[in-house]
Amino acid sequence: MYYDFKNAEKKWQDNWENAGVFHAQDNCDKKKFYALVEFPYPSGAGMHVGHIKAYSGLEVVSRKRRMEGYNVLFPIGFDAYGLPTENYAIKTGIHPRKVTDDNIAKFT
Amino acid sequence: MFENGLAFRDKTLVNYCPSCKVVLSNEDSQGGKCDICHSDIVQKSKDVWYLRITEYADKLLEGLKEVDYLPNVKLQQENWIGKSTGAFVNFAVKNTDETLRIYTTRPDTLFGVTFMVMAPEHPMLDKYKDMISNFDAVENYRSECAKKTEFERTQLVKDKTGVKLDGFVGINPVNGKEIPIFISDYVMMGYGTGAIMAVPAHDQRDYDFAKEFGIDIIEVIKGGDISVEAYTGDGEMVNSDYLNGYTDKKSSISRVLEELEKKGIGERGVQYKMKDWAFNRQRYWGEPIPIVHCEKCGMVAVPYEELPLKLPKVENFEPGQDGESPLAKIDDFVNCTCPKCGGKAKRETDTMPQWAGSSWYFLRYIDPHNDNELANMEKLKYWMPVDWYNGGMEHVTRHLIYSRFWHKFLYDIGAVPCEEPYAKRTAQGLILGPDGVKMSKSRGNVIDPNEVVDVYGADVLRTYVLFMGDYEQAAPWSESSVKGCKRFVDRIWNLQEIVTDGDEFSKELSSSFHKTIKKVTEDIEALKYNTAIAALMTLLNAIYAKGSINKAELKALLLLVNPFAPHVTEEINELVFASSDMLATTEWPSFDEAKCVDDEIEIVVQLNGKVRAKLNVPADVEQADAIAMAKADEKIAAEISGKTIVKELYVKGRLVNIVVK
Repeated sequence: MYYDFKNAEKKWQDNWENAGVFHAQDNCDKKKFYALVEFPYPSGAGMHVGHIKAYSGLEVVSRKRRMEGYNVLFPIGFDAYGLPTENYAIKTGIHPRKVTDDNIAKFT
Repeated sequence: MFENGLAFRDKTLVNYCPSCKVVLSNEDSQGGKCDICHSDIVQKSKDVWYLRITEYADKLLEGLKEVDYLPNVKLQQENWIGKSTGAFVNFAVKNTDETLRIYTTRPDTLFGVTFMVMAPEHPMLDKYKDMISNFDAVENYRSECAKKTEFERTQLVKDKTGVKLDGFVGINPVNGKEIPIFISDYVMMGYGTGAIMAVPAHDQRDYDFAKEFGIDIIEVIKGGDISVEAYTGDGEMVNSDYLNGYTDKKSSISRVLEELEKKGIGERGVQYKMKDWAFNRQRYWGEPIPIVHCEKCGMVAVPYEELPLKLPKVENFEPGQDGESPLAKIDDFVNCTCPKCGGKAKRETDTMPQWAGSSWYFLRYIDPHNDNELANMEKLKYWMPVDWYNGGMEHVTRHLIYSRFWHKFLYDIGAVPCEEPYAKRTAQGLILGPDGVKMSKSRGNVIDPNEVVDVYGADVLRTYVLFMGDYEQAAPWSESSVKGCKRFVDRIWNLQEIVTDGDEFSKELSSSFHKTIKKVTEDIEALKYNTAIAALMTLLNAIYAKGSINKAELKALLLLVNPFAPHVTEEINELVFASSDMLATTEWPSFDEAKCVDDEIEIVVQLNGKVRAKLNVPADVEQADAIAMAKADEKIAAEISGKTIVKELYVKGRLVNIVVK
């Protein structure tokens, strides 16, 4: 049997998003689980396999805890301020605001 | 922090990177190199912002007792804070009313002190420069030091340099002996008191210095050969008056402390390796520091109703050659009125270092749209602390300690409900290149995750990075192992071809399922993703060996695999069960401990206490059946034939013993 992962993966990402299954609830009676990772720098190199390993670990725990009845907060974002972005901006002459926005687009 | 005296400005020698044009903390300039661009740093005198993290040193150490961090994470934090207990001792300076205060962790060696060393920058030298007959040598040495970085100055392996102060002599307070005082670059003003006592017989750096300058070396602890090198071990005290004969370090320290305190020449004390946190950058891309400088009122905090102070948009974001922030060039940002007196004032133009945002982001993500406060207290009470924080080992000192410090301060002013921000901290190991070394562009061994997703899919990539080895250890990338994970996903997909009806686990697979549910449930919580996935692969083998899987079994398997490979399992679930319930919202499968036992077990059969055969029996076999099966065994049957059985017994799960005559 052939598994068309490209379509299936896109489809389920949309389904989860539309159903809001990963939304954390405020004012909730359930037990909570707050999982946290170190957000990526929006660097020019984009996503690295190290990011996948760092984030998949707690992502797996978070999915399991949701299925176990927990209300889970597992945020993701970008660590945008600081020297890595600024040095890249100075080297290329591109404004750090634009560097940050462009690189975030690469990640997402 | 400013209002609470924890943010302050001070003139000091700073680590300055001429290439990045910024002041760097010690942690960001390890090895004398800039952490960002790796160029050599230099020392520069500058007025900079500090956060008084040293005030929280004890709380940061204490807090480690109540959190669940990996042992090496705790150890690294303890070493970074570097608490030591010892004594402050005051050495009189001959012909003055002055005392030189030093800190030592080894007051038991005080009788072995034969010289002292002061930091070249020590202000006491200027006060007594008329007494010091070779003060021009002091000034020459000072200007040489100014060229050296702190790293160069404090390196252990280097030639010892210094200047003996003529006419400025110390007195050892325990025996009244006059001892020379030197200045040397390896003593820094920023550490301790800016002066040290030296015990050349028992400290190798002091020993090298004493040899270089021909200073007395007096043994006070027996056990080594001080004609060759310093002795740093334990032993019997000698040449030490009332300490002579002591053999235990702890007792001699406590005895000498008693004497010091009695005579008022010293007292117990603690010191920390950690210094206050240099909290500023003369750069654009950071949070502006909300302080206004008024000629009349001094430094004034920007009023709460004007916060947050936003970073102004600028065209020219490059730092100036003078090390001044690009913000200083924006007149309408800089010029403002003093919130206190209404007079003309100028804004602070330094920005915060990159560690600022990461010191509190986890609080704001709880309530990101709140315009009135950091985050709503009720929400903070529900969500905090973070239950589990995972990240890189490179962040377990700086980021983790800085953010714990902020959090403890916020707790002290009542802004957060708990003392510690993170209940648990783990760290993942690196992924190395296929050649076994760290991935880097220059080596050309970088794997692009997007390409892996294009070729194999996200489920395979996720499964692989968690399967590749112990999660906390480094492991090299292996293309063949990626393919193995692809095969795993495909085999799960193909289970659809052998599904049968059934609403409970089949007899043959029941214990395999219960065992696997238990293992995956527990392993995920212990970061043992690789063994959890391996157990799922073993279960798949058992299913394919049987040749079918019923619907109850398939459902449980899909749920177990779902956290690792969520897409393919949801797709199969939808196709096979034709239901709109997603796995993501289905309950995690449970296991029955009693059913986790093996279906069949191996036992041994003994004749008169000697092992004669091995036998497979059902795990829950009764005594009578086990004995009957043992006696039916071909070999045993032959041996007992014609003999009298005196005794038979079955030890559950282990053996049958038959005694014959």
